Amino acid sequence: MKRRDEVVVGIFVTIAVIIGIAGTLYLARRGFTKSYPMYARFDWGQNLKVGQPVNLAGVQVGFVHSVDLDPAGYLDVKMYIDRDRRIPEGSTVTVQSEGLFGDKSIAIKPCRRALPPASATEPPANAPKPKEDLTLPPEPVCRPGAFLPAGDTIPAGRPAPTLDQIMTRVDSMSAALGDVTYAVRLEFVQNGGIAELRQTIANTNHLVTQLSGVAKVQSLALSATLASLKRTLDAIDSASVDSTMRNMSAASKNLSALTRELDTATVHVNAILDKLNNGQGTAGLMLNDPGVYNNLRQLLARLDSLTADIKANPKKYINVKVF
Amino acid sequence: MSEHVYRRSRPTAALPVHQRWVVMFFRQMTRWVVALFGEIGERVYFGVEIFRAFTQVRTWVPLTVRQMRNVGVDSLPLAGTVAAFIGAVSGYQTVYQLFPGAQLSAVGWIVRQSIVLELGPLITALTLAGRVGARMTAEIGTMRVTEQIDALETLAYDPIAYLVVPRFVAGVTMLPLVTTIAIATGIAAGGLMVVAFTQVTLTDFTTGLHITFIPFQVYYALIKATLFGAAIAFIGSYEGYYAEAGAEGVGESTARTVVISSVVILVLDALTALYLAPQLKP
Repeated sequence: MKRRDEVVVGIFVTIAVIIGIAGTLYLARRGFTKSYPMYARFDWGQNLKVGQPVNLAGVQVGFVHSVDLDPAGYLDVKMYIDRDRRIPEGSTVTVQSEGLFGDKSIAIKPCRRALPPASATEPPANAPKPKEDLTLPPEPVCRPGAFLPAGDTIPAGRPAPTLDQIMTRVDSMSAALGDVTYAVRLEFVQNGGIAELRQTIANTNHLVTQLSGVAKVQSLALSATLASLKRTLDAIDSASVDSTMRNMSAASKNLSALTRELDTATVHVNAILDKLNNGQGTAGLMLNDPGVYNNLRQLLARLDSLTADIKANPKKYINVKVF
Repeated sequence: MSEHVYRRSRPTAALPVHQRWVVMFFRQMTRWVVALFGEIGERVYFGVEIFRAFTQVRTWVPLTVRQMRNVGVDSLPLAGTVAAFIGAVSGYQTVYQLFPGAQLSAVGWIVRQSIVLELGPLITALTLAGRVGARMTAEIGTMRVTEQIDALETLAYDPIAYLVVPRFVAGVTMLPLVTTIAIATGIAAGGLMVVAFTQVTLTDFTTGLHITFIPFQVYYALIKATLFGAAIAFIGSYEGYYAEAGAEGVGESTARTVVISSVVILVLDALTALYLAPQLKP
């Protein structure tokens, strides 16, 4: 019996100690998954607490292990990331709000996905370049397969605007809207703007009425003009128009016959010209044989010398004898 | 002469009536204060006796295992049942106290904090004060009124080492362990309840369990459980050891054990919160 007590108590103590240690580890280390540490640094006043979730692209991958206050104005945050999750190189961390309790979580924003090959996405040369906000740092681009090593510090990204900042902006917008409303009221109510507007509308109505009268008169005149034109057209003799058209048709036929004859004549002239160019026939030989040209030159030179000789010695050639 | 003797024995008789009442009031107050300090002194002396008896290892060690089973193993069904119901109800209640827009993971966080920090140790201790403390008083008290304790002294046994030390050791060691299992049972029952009957998912609940947790929260619960265990064993043993003669005396001592233990547990709870709660801030 006594021995049995010892066994039962031993089992009980063992189970209780295991539950105590395992439960504490489970609560403190967010489950029994193995993890590795990563670090981040934020400005003061982020309301971060131990145990809050760390999300990568919206999926919880770890938890906040410790938050230390750096007197230089920073919070040094140690996170534990599940061992089977890896943080892409170029990722940034920000503190995000969750729910209405003011709960926070750390969001790891992965870097932009690497662009596909340049040929597929290269814009045309004359395409306008997209506007870039020069005040913001450029978003880092992933290197395929590159991950941050365990124990590294993830750089902090641009924090999302807080409710206070949004409310401040809304306040300024509200003040500006109030100024505009005041100016409108001043112009339209106190300075008689509405009365002037009504007068303008009345004048416009009057003008429209006048224009309507003018349009009516013009419409009548136009109707008269059309009637007159119709009468003139009716007066034209259709028989004479027909004969004129027939004459014009005959003239057109004659013109086409003349054109055909001219074509035939052109063919003939072209044939003659071809013959001339090719040196066929008398005229062709005369035009194309250089010997004829030379002979003619010689003949002309002789004629010149003969003419000169005749001028010089006329009596040599002309011997007029009277009786 | 007789007048003189009377005056010496009852000096207030010579005083006017209103002065006599004042003197009697202060006399009674003095008696109460003296009795109070006497009670405290007796308990301190009892405590010293316990520590002195720790030296008689051969006497108390073999008997401790039996008491550990009584305090720990045999109390587990009751403590576990109470903790399970407390955890389930607190989880279910918490879901319906959340205002719209609140994160559902807050349920896990609230259940964990309430069970680990307060309800687990406190409810377990109060339950065991009734079950274990009363039993100790009844056992030792019966031995007192049946003069078994006197017989032990006659046989040269130290009754403190024989009866009290095993119970004290069992209370101090077993209550933290029972509390540990009760906390685990309470949180598990709370999670089971909210996941089964409300819109809270298991992920919500387990996410909330980890928020702002530091291991000192568990140590804090175990420190409290140790103190509660010591208080239950000490008060139960003391009331039994000094039980008045007769069955009525044992019954009175048993009732006093439950009342005093409950009050002392609550006072100790407040004191530990006062001293240790600031260190619980994550």
